[in-house]
Amino acid sequence: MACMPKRVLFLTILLFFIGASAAPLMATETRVGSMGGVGMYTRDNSNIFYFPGTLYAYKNQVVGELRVQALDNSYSVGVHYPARKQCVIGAYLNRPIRLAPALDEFGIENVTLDQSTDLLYGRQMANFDFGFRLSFGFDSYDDGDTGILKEEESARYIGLAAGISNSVMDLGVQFEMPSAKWEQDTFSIKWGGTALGANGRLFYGGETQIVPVGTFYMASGSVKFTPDPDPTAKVDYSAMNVGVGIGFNRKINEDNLLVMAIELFGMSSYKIEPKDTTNYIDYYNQSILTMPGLYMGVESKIKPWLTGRIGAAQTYQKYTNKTRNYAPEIITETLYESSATVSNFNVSFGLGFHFGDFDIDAAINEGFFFDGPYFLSGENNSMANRLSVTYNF
Amino acid sequence: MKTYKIIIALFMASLLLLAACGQIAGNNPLGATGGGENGYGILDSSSYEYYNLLANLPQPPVQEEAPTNPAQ
Repeated sequence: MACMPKRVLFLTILLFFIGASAAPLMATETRVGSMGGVGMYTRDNSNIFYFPGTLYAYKNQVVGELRVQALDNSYSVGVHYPARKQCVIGAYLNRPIRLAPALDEFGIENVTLDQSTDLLYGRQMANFDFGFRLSFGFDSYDDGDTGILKEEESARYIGLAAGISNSVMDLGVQFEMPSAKWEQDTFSIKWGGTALGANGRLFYGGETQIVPVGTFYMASGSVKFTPDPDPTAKVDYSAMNVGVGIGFNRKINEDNLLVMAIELFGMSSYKIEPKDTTNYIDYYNQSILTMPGLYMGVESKIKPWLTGRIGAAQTYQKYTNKTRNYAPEIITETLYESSATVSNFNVSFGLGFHFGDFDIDAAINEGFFFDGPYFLSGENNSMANRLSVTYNF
Repeated sequence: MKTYKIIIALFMASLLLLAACGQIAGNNPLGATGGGENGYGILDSSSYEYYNLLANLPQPPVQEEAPTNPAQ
């Protein structure tokens, strides 16, 4: 009888491996993240948010992204369902959206615009696949008070994206329109703006592919503060992300893929600027120039049920910060400028497991291997930093 | 057949060796087109330094405490 648990364990492990099938190489945010962050330079099902035309290539999937352990709000789940011949529909719940600035920077603290619900549509055309995405998110808050103390907040996000894709090219464009409002009696804070973005890439070659990539994103908007009886204050903000790079995809054989990329030029900037005479707000401008960024990763199918991944990223960047502080007691204002050149480097490591129709990608916490498990080191390292699960039906 | 396996093994081993440097430095590179845990680089507000803008904002009305009833 004492042998029973061991037998059960043995049979479980055996079935575990027998059930594993020779699934195709997997695809998720965790996969490209653990390959050094090469998502823009290689094909992956997480491409659908940057290149909506790729949706049709990833039909018949349910995808779960578990980004931060035990933080449900960081998880998202989506389905890609082939509704008709040559047509795929999809939906994602709780996908993170990326807005700058954050609402609480302007005093809107009880509502968030961090996640969206997405509806997707993909269609196979004669020469390319077409994809479309509608994203939306809402939040509201009411503090329950009455009269002049009643405090209300609301936030809304609408996003549209479209793209075309085929075997040699992906092109995607997007438009976003976020807004938020805080009101209390005659006081109000109204925040809103628009954003435009475009991503494109080409695949030249067969087994070895050269992949030029371009990305562009620009957001602008304003915040209006309406105190009474003071005059209305207004602040403009803008954010920009531009990058150009060249990737190299080398499919060594059926089981091994090597991806290398160099970002020749990257510029990300974020600016907040007061636009009235009341000068409530300090001027702030941060820009990050990347020249160059190097990303590389390899994916190797070790066994039919196991894939190993390792990647690295290194960036050479110049940070420039400009600030102008408002001091009511001093009539003149001073513009402060500082810059720093830094080099950052990181290595990522991942494993993919194939069980029947399920694929699980894990970004492995290297500290687990450096320190060892708890019973050896006393260090409480989790084994994975993030997980992705794909069900292929 | 063996050559590519050796190349892959050496590549992985060299990156694992470099992983020690990365862990010591504790950096997380984010470019405009790559890097980062989600695999797509800088595209979110968390990439920027948080800057406290609230210091000089107009202040909303503050709820005053109700006067205490002397009968209580």
